[in-house]
Amino acid sequence: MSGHPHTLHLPAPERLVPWKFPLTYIFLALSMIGIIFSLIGAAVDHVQFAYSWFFAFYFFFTIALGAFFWVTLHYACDSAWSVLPRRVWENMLGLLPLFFVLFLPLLWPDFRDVLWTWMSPAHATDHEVEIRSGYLNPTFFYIRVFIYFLYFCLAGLYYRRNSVAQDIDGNPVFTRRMHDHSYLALVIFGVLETFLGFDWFMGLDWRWYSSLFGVYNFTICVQASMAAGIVIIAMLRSAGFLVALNSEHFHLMGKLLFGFTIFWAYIAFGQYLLIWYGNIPEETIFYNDHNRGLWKYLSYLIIIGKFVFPTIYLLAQDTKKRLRALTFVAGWLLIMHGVELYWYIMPYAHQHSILPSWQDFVAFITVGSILGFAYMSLAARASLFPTRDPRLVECLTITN
Amino acid sequence: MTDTPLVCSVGSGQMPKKLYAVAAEFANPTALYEAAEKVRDHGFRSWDCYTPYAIHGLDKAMGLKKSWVGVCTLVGGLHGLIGGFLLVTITSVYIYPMDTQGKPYFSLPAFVPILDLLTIMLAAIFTLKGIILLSGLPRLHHPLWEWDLFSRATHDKFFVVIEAKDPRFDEKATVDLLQEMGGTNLTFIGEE
Repeated sequence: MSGHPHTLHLPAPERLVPWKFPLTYIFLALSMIGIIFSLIGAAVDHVQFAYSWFFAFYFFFTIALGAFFWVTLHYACDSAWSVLPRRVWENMLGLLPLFFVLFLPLLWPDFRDVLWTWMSPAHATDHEVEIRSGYLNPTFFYIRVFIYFLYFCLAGLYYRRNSVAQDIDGNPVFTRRMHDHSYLALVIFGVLETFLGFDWFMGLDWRWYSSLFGVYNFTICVQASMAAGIVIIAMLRSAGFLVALNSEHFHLMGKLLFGFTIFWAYIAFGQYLLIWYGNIPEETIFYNDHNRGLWKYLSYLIIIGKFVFPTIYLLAQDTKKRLRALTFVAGWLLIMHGVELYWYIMPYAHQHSILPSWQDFVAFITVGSILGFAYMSLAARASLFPTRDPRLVECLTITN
Repeated sequence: MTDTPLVCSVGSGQMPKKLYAVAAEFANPTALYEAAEKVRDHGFRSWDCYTPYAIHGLDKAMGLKKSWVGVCTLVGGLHGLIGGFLLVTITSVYIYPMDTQGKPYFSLPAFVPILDLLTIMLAAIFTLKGIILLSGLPRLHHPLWEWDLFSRATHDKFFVVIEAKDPRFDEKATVDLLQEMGGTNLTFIGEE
């Protein structure tokens, strides 16, 4: 029963060797095949391709954006618990330049005009576009896209690079410097994430607006990113990595996942309640458009699947402490993240009812496997956890 | 009126008439933590640690089981949810229906903030009640209060107190155990 060790063994650096895992080859093969099928899809039905590709892109991009939040939050709060799992999110930040490449097809006029119709020639003389032209004009749009990617790529790489550099000499100056920069980084993150959500996500229906939308976009990013982090950690653990993590770390991650599940419900419902209560046609049109035909049942599924079930499930302490149970609900929340984005984006393509296209799957698998392959290659280039972080010992012995 | 004092330090030769517990002071949280683990491993049940602030992980070192406070919270939350639902439904649908912006009398979105707040409020109240009752409060007096040094448990001292009602309690063996673990100011605490 007793036996409290008074000497602490620091875990040895862990290196992922991607060539040992069949998953790497699966990702590589699927991304090759996926690119070919995506090109066919884009040629056959460019409208469906634009929506499917944007759905796939945004599903993964929100996870990477959330990772930026978790990493900067870690430094801003001087957290100790997140030292060991931090590299999982840092590696997502390393993928941000790749996201820019994946976003480029959407700027092609054919696809761009489908998604953000205010740019299409059909709306060139639309009065509603004209009165919004101070913000909704293509030049400014491209400048904003450039700013988003410039900031997130540079800042994301900055955090990952410094953290990896610290593995060599363990210099606490790195931690100190990133801590000092993280406050401003968080503020800029909040502003850019809000406008990014306006431009790409809310811009799918540019007549509609909601002042809560920035927070809404933030919650889906942050929750999905925590869920994805837990799933990746579970995969790494099953491959024999990150053995130093214990139930205390899982408990902490579970609490954050639980908290952001409730926060998501709070924001999503708050947005709905205000629009429902105000009952102004230009606002209610959004919920009207997203509740036609079978879409209505999908919105019920989101309420139950993304709020009721995970909240009750995560309420118990045991489910948060056991990795297997936590991974189950994190995986489920990732699926619900996809369902929610699908419910959000696809009614613009298929107004009357749910009509899944083969392109949805192709785009998702293509983007997912390209990113999965890149993630594994990137994760292999450094230890799977920060080996010389000054708070590593504190993280190993954490209790909550 | 008692002939012997209620509090007698070990070695003074005196003993309270009716023994409540034997208490020992520890120099710092680490010493207390290690002592707690040893007391736990000796199989004691009726004992406690007293510290000026929360020490993380001490519950594990003491071998405490999961607290029942969470159950109180859940019961309170369910009371708030169900009670709140009945409250708003009965009043605004049956007893006093009012037409608000032409919306149906039974409008769940409008009820949600009330259900939410009542759930949180009753969960919080039940949690507080649960903590108070499960800690054995309210009580007017405690035998340990007779010991002057003990007032520093809320200031800068760390104490382990093993109660006499524990089946493994043995005057000599327990005192030896506490001494061996590095406890100082060993004291017998009596009760009336």
